[in-house]
Amino acid sequence: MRWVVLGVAGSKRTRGLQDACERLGRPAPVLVAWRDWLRDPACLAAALSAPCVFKVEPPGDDAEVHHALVVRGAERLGRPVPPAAEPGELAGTDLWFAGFSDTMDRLAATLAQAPGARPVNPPADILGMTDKLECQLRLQGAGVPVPRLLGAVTDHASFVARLDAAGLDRGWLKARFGSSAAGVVAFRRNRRGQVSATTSAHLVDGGGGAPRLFNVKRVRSYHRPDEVRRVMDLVAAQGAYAEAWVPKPRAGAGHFDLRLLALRGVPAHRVARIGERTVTNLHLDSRRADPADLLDVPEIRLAEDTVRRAAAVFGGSGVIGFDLVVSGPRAHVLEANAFGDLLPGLRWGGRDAWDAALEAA
Amino acid sequence: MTISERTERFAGLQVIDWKPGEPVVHQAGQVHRLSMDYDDKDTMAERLTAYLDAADTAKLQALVIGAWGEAHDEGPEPFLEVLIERAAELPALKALFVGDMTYEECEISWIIQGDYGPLLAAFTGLEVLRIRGSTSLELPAFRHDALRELAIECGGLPREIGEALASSTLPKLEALELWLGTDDYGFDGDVDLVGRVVAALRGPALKTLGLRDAEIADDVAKWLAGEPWVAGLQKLDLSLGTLGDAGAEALCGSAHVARVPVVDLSHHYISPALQERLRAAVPGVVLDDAQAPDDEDRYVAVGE
Repeated sequence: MRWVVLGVAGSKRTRGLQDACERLGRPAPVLVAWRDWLRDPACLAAALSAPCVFKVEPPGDDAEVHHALVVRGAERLGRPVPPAAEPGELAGTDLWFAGFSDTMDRLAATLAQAPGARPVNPPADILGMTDKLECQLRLQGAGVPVPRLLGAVTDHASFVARLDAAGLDRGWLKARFGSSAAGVVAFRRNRRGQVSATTSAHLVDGGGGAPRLFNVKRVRSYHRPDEVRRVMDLVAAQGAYAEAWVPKPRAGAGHFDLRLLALRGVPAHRVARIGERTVTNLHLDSRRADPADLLDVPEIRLAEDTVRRAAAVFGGSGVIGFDLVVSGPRAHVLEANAFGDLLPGLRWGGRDAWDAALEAA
Repeated sequence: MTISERTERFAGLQVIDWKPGEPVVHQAGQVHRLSMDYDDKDTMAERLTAYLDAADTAKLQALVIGAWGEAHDEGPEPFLEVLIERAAELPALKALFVGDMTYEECEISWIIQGDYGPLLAAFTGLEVLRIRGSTSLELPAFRHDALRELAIECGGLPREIGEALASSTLPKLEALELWLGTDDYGFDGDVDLVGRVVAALRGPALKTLGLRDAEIADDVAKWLAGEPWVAGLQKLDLSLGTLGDAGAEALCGSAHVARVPVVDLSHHYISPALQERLRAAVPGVVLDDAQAPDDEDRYVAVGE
């Protein structure tokens, strides 16, 4: 079957799929670039007119597309258009999501007219997973264990109020829209009045203006109360929620969680991510490990069962990356990621994630 | 347990987590760690009591205490008291680690420690004591005739602890490891005080000296370079600190340091040229984890 990809030319994801097609002797995937589709919607409709498997890759690798989505979102919400974000800047993710929603709605309409195109992940599922609060609520509603949700928050003060109400002295502030660890803050406080915020979101002095937030590939902790407040205010202003802290199991001086890929609902590729700074995403200095070296067989089975149940919530989706904490009698789902298959070099059943996705589709 | 990635060691033993309800089986070469998750409801004093009730206490040789629930707000006294009360039942206890916590469990500078005077008085046979955290840590000037290894890991060693150690006597001490840290996290001593501590505790048995995680690493290195007794060490550990070219230059020129079989300087700010000279001058040097400062600032490995 021919593959059509809505993606970004030259990105790691696109190249990975192209290489896999070549390896497996399949026709090269047809790439429709996000930027081309936004300018000319007809080009995608044309590509989808013949039978094909259709995969949406995230638009984030293209700064121009990112800003176009922010502009579209601002129009949709009737809000002023902010200046284009700088590379790595965490700004306007709520506007970005509104724009992204608009494109997913249009994509659904296009697919409705293209009966031969079979999406790997349907637009509605992609949206449902990209709104992380919505996603956790859906999983929770389906009985899948997730960390206790403390609700949506709009700033540092409302986050702290949520912790107070729950009687907690630590918790996570998570950006509602986005992916990977962007806009995730681990907050702690003690009775001596000390606070800390551990995050890959760094405050950068905007040069006379207000400080701005940048996502950096290094986790750091803020301890000055004014900085903690500012980081959390900037994250929360873009839409965020508070979540209880689920302890991750320990490995040496660090702790780990799992990324487990579900292919057509079946648990497949998996990797443990050991981090010494609480945030364990692989691109943030976390170390990869084989889950079989960290967890015993019943624990692995528990993780797999949880992934099966979680994947069924998005039953139309062929590729979902789940982040889980396996600890004691539960495996908690931290996140479901519709684009969670960027796992270069990771093999399961002898195949990397691209090869496996091609064969599973 | 065959789970290789999770194996940790203390006092030469493999650390195994013990959870309430499990039997206590003492295996040769293993030590149990009692550690509470953030959301556990019992107290460490209760957990320790349950552990000791289930253990063959007469044979218990080593113990690791990890996170004690709210270590960021509550000190260890309640469970240290349990140990002290039952000291007579624990004649074989030789090695104790209090505060084996990760950053995820509690930032090292937030760990509330306590007074170790009563514990040291009650366990006259204790040979290895490792303490993590220096906030609210109290240590009297003490004499202990069995202690072979003493380690205090922290982001900043307070002057009072240094002064107490400088007035203490540990005739059997083989390994001393102090994390000096930074003034941001409570270090308010200086190399003169460090010198007095080492002078007080350096007996004929001392083979391993660790002055780690130090923002005064250069000063410490310059001082050590001129001390003839350094040549008798088996290991000198100045890792985790901010050692730069000034300290490295001094170490290069020291015939005493050159004779130490292992000189661990990992996590350092030494220039490539001086690293080369060090490798030539000090055969036992370890220079892992070179730091590349993006500005003039240098940071210890463990602070907050």
